[in-house]
Amino acid sequence: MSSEKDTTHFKKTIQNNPNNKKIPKQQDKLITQIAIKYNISPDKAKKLVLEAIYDGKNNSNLTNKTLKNKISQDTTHLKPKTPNIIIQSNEKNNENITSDNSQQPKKQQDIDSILSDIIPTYEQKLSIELQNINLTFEITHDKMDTLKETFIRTITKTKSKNIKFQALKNINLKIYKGEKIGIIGYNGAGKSTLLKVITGIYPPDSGKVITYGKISPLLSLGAGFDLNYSGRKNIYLNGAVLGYDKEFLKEKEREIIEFSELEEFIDIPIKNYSSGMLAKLGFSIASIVQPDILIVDEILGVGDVSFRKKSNDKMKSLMDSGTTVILVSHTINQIREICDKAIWIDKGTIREIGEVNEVCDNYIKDSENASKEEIANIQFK
Amino acid sequence: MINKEKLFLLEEIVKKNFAAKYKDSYLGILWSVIKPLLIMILLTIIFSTLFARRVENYPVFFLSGKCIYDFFSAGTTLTMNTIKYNKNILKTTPAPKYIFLLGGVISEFLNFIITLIILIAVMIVARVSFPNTIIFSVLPIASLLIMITGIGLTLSILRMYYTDIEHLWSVALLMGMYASAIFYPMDIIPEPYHGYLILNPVFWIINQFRSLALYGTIPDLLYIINSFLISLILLIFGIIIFKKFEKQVTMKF
Repeated sequence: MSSEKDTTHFKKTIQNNPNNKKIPKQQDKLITQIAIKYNISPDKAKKLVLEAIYDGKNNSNLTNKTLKNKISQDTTHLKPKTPNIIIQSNEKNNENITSDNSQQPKKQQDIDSILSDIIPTYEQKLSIELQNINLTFEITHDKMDTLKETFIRTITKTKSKNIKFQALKNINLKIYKGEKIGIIGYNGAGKSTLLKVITGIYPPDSGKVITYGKISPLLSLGAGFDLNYSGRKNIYLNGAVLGYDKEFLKEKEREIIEFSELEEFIDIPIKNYSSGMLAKLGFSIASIVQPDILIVDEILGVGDVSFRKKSNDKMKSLMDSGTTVILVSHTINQIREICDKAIWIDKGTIREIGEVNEVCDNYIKDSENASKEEIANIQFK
Repeated sequence: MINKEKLFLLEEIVKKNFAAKYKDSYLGILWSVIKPLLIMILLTIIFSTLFARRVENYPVFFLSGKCIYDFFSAGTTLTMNTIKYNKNILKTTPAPKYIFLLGGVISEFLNFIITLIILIAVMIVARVSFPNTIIFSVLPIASLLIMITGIGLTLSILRMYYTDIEHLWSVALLMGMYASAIFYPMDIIPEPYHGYLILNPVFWIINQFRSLALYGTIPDLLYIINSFLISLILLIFGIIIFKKFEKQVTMKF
């Protein structure tokens, strides 16, 4: 474990020169030590160290123990062998742990801006940024979408008041390039709404959505398929709707058809297709592009068993290679498997954000108290 | 604003609109030719003797008005319903909505071009000489195109808030058709009511088109500018309304 001397020295260098452009040697040493110890990449280690330092800066009783503590908290999931030791050391130094879990998400955001000020090489590219997102739906009880109704009700003053339902409340979120985020929450918590806001389908009432790079929303397969078109024509139609260009589709047409396993049927109108075939075609078109941000809402695995496996593999290959992934799923194990960070949405707010297993565990614990409607269809195990 | 991807989307939407119009029909696009011709023949049989003294070449007179008005009515109706028809796409992808509306206007415009070809054919058959001014008839057509886009944008939003707009607009279109002097000459209307016809901007355009394409007379320049202005105002109004409500409409699905 790193010596106390190292950290205090490092702390001082950072604190004394907030604009220090070069990373001091001691810091490098510390970072490599931590990286080796917890089996994580040097970049990640650097981030953890700096985060810990920053935490300490705001809270004057920084000691080597709190630093270690912080690092161990953030690395428990990375190496399953070490946690035991770390937890032990945590218990011993319990009095030094500052319990400010509620403010954690907020703090993490500040850290990034400060870190990038201190160290220019601190590279964490933002992928998605949500600032103070609020979204309300208006729910009308009576059908009031005709002119006649509106007119009569305005005159007779029986206009029913629209009930406003706040689907998202003050969501602040930063997602970095390459992060795999799982969104969990009970039915009606606002998960899909959040995805639609990120994708740009729903306009937030207030707040800002900033995204960097090409987004590929796999919210539903085969949006805009024309039933009278042949499969081949639908590739172009659906591709255009998804924002591909013509040359790209011409180039990829073969690949799409091959992947969909529909060579024999590709030139007949898709009204003759089975729903499984439609899903195969839709998936093949949607997954042909390598996006920067992949947004998935419960569509892993379509078609028959063999295709399901194939599409799952394709999905995984899309998710690798530095793609930012946002996945909404009711299958908690899927989230645990794919994601490394989870966001728990509850009644339109972010209830918890953090390491995936931790959040999922808390979520499952909480679900015991939830009503039946809230947890219908959710597979916890 | 319009890049390669959007242009491609536009192309696909126009193709799809065309395909949808003639789906499962044996004659396909030929219906664009047959329909106005049949109606022209019918109305010529009924009215040509009645208006023989007032209108020369009744078939050409009727068909020119009919082409313009059909474009207006089909263009506004299709754009009005575009958001509803493409609900499933717009609900799940961030595809730009205005491209879908433009696609509606353009596919109906292409249809209009086909009917213009019939008009020219009928003019040749009826031995109507083509005046030199026919080249300027693109002016009222351009004005009409702008007007249709503007009205379509506004209606497409209204349609999502009030379902009856669809029926209301079809009644308005029917009234508009009778008020556009398509199958009767303007001078059968009693003098005091002439002023009301002037309220109908489509009538202006039909009038300008007829004088440029059939009679070889150039209408008052102010008349042409006015109809352009009206169209522009409608377009700007449409764009403002559309921009304002475009996104809110998604929440209504």
